[in-house]
Amino acid sequence: MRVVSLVAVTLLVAAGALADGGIVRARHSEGPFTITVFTAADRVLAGPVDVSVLVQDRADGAPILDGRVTVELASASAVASATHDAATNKLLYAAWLDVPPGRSDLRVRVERGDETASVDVPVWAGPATTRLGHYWPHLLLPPIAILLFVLRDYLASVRRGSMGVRAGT
Amino acid sequence: MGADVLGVEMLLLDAGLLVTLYAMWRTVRASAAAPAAMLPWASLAVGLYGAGVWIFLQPMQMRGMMMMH
Repeated sequence: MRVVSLVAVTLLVAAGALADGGIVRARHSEGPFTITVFTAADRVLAGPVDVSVLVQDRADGAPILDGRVTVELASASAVASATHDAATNKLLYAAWLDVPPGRSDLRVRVERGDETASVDVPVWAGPATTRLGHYWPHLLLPPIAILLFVLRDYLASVRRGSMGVRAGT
Repeated sequence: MGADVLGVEMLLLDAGLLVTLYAMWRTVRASAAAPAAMLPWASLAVGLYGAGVWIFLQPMQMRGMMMMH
């Protein structure tokens, strides 16, 4: 019982809280804005990456929803306009960017009227591999276990059969 | 860190499938039913396992999206 309780408590230990499926990559205050940049919680892989931006009033922390936010990659000369429509959480601005493997500098620029601010976020993107390509060994466990179990059952029945024949003679 | 958690999740799914199949096998052995009687339920268990693996292999933002359509 003590072991079961220990295992249950161990499984409840969380590494950290992740809000809305994303993690904070940078938080920067400049001019009248406080800019927070999020990407997906998973490891960033080369390819399309979802970038979300929260823009707040620096003075009171209120979200600013009528700004113009662009996200660009200096290395790939790619620019995308981040919008509320693309974001699940409508307080955020979101855009998809094609990120090459390796280190890239992501620049988020916020404009509202004459006021502008920008933040640079370094991003390290791993090679584009599928999750299945990474985790396929985990899928081998059930078939191998079933195979061993069937084999054990078969050998046990063969042994029982041979002992029955020996007892009958 | 996220990748390690996913590995543990997959192993827990593996363990769940194996325990389910073993319970079915024990039930069939204890009853007078033919071993083939567990096939429909075993197929269901394997199907649920496959669905679980598929969901875990989705990016975090895509999980549960099917429910919203």
